[in-house]
Amino acid sequence: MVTRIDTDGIKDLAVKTAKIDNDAVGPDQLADTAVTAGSYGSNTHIPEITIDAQGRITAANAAAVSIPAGTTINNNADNRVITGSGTANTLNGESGVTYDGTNFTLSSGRLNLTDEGNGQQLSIGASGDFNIEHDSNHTYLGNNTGDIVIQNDANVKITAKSGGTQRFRFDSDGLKFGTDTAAANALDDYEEGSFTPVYAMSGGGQNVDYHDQQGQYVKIGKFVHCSIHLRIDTVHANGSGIAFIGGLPFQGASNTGQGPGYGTGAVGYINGQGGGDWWHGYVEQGQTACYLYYGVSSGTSQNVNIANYLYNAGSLRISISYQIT
Amino acid sequence: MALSESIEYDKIEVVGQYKAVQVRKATVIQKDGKELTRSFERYVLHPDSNIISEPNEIRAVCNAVWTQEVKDAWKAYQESVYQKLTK
Repeated sequence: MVTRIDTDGIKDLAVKTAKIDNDAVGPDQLADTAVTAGSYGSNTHIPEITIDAQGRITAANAAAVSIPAGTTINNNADNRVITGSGTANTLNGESGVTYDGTNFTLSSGRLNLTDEGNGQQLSIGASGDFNIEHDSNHTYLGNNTGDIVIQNDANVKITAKSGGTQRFRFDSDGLKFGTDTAAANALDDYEEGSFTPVYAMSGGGQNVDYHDQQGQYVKIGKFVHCSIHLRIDTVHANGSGIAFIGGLPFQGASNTGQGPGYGTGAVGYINGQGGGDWWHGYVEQGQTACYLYYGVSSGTSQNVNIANYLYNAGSLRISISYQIT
Repeated sequence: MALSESIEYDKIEVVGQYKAVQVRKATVIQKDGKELTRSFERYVLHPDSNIISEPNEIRAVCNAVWTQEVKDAWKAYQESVYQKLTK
């Protein structure tokens, strides 16, 4: 019994896709979409295709496009920075400027930062902690974090720009001024501090209590200056010999190749002590003692001792200057 | 915020032929571990100085350099100075 074919032909929907053999439908059986057969696209045109909802190509054209000319990079090599040129479609690889993903290297020429009107020209650090600025008048180094450390194994110099005349020089001897290079003239130390001065006797045996016992020093290179205030409360034992102020903060230079270490003590104020006028002091070389004198007799300074010259409640203010090794 | 004070003997120097031991005692004030101030007090020990109360590091230096020969030389020098200066 035939149910799908009658005298008018094959009934609607009687032919399923599966019933059509592969490649059985030819061009003549396809609807004419009016697309002109041909090859669309070239080195100056691109194909412009229209497709309908059934996936059929319903239109095809060749649209003209403007394709830029190729660019030539002259002198190119790995990691070179590319710069423009004065010629169209031509770039240059700079042999003196490279970046390898880690380091940016300028191996020839210089880095010119010429904008003087907008603050810092160079900013270094994640937060710009260190920066360099030059305005039309001055140059500034700025740092917001930690110290600025200048490291150099040789000398560090500050010189004039014109002529290069040295103004300061830091080397292993210390700081030298002007064009000086002599080690002996280098300033190698500055220090302030305190010490505890005492009255002492060359033969020992003294016992003194103090109301005030103060010593301050300033050391500039080999030069030491001390300011002392001694005010006796009570003398319990006089001791023997000659009196001196001991406990100076540095030992005076000796005479063994270092020059004399003699120093002087200048009394600024005295109260309640014996001996009359013109107290003074003398620092012997190689010692930390300033020997006390109360005046001059027959051209010679006269020693002080505790028993006869340093009294209870007596006060002495003296400045002492001397050199050290 | 913690303030602390500590003592450092930050310079112990042997000076001169009589081996004087120069000591710099630094008083250091710190805030939260960061140094705020450092002030110095100095003294000098000679071969005839009493060092019983000195810190071990200083006594060690003194004992190392103060040989009997040095002590004798210092004593002789002191006596010569006293003799010279006594008028």
